[in-house]
Amino acid sequence: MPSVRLVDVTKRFGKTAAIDHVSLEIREGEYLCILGPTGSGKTTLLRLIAGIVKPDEGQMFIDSRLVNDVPAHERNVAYMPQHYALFPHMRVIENAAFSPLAQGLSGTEAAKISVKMLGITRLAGRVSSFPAELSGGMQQRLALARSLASRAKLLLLDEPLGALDARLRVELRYRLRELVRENNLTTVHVTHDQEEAMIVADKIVVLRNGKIQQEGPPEEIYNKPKNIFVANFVGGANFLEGFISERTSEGSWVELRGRLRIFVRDKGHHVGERVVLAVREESSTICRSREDEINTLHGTIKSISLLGDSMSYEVLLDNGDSLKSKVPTIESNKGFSIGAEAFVLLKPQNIWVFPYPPVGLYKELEAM
Amino acid sequence: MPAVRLVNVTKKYGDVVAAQNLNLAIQDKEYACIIGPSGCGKTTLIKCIAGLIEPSEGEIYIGEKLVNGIPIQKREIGYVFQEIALFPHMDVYDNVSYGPTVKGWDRIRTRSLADEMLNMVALRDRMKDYPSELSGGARQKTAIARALSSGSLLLLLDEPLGSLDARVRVVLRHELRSIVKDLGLTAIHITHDQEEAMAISDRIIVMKAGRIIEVGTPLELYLRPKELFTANFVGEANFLIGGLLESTESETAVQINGKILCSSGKLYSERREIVAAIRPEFVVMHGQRKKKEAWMGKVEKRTFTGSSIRYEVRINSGELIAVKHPATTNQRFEVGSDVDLTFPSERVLLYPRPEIGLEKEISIE
Repeated sequence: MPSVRLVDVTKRFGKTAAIDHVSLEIREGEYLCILGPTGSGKTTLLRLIAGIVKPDEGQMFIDSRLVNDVPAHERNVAYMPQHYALFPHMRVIENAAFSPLAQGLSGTEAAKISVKMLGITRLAGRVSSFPAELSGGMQQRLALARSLASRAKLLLLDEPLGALDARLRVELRYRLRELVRENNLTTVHVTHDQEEAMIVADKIVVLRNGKIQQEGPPEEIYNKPKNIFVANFVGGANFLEGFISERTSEGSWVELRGRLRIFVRDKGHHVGERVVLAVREESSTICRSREDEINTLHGTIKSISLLGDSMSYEVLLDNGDSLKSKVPTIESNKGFSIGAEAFVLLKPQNIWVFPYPPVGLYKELEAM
Repeated sequence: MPAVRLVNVTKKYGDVVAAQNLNLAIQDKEYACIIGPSGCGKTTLIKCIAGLIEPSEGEIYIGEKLVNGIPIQKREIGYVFQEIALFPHMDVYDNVSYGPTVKGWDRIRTRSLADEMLNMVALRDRMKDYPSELSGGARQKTAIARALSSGSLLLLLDEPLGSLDARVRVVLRHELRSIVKDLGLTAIHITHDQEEAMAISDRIIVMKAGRIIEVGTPLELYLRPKELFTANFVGEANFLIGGLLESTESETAVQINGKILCSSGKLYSERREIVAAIRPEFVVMHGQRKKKEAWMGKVEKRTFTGSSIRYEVRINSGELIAVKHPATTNQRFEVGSDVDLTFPSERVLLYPRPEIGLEKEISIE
């Protein structure tokens, strides 16, 4: 199983740096997700590793070998582009056998390998079909079988589930993960879907404007986001603007608009500093009465929406801010209705404090 | 008075039936979502309402008016496509005021309507920007504002958020619903994303293979789906196959792998073979206590999904059961630990086993 290392890599298109001084290490057998919004440079990063584009600066290693000048077909990588690029005039088996044949294997050998890969991807029954006769999910599996048939141990996937319906995507991401594990591959998977990344990845790299914002295991990224962008892009959160009004030995008081005061554990900001508070929806608790004195905020329910296993209540606070609170659907039968009075409890340990972004909070969030 | 009504609408392409005998009434000011897998006929349905496709049979009413044969521009609808179709050479303001201008409205009236719509989608400070300068989300909001400025009370949305990033989609879907509700519009929204449909609609219409198979509120479809297909399509579910033992008005008992499973309510089934379904978050999981009624198993996998933790438990009879817990709970189960599962009877759904088989029935491909 190969490893990949990027040292201070930059790639420019004209004046724009699509990848801006990125250093990154992918260990043998690791499943890495590159997560970021449209235009963040994630596809460029993948194409750099594949050898389809060349870096302007920096070094790239695959298995300790410097590959900056090694062309794509000599890198021993399996690259699956976003829209699969299946050969429409070739049957399923011919698509799958393409790489082995191109590598100079005999027809029998190539057929053996491709039949095996089509078996793994559950397409054994469709060997004689043409791509256009397959469903979206089958086309995706064929693209995967074709990549696997190259027998490269470094798999590069660009939005591999992006073209599929939401429900199918959910089902296939578990299978994709198993398939990769069973075949001992090192994988780099590009996606804009944070939930998908969370489920398949050993490690996530969050990219924005060509720069790495944070990297780490899914739980760490979710539970300890380094900045507002990561908190928002990975999982979403409630954001509240305020300033530090007082510091105590246990934490700080933050004053929001309308003189609403909230206590936080964080002590890293000075009195008077503008800050943004962030709380996950599932960490803000909605209740009917003032259960706790500290950080229990009064408001009225503005909207209710079902998310499946949970329900999200949006509460308009008395000071004009609004907060969303997520409750498991099974516990949601508390009789809350739109317009009803409610309290939202924010536990100090669940509140992150970030410096107020120079471009303003709205712009910072919109820049997704 | 329903805003839109379909009576026995069928659309055929040669021998292929894209939509079969559709009957549907969308209420005034309702937000309705139509969901279903690729090829289920949902796009055919909305195109028939829009007037882009003429049905082979049946009638379509918008308000009181029979609209068969009436072209799209005379149906008074706002239409938003998945592929954002803005005029690239016009700025945001000109795009949004295009409809009223073409209709010959005077400048002042056009201006005030365009302003209102741009306010609605929070794009007033981007009025002078061209589409290429906007993010995908802002572009789609411009398309929505343009559809709204047509002044029609019926909004048809064909995968309006489909081309956007997952996270942007989550934010925009709420804005979309607020706009529709604030303006008192009726919306019919097509999506392949069942979570999107659940989050924003008053009612959901589930389609499969050219037919409407179930209609209900999001909570009805999630908690009490009438069809097995819906149970799987609208949220994840575990399925177990068993035999019917007894069914009374209050409770039904079934036998699965030698164990007895109960479900609230009566099951009307002519078949003895049944399928039991339960959503992962409703399965109760404990450390093993060897209680007789519990299903014993071993945790095979634990996946962190953000707000929840998903376990896969191999039960002694061999099936794999998904169990979901909120990530905020303190109780964690390690891979390899022995556990007991119980299925609360009020959460167990029962269906007659489909003749074509379970796999085929719930297939979403």
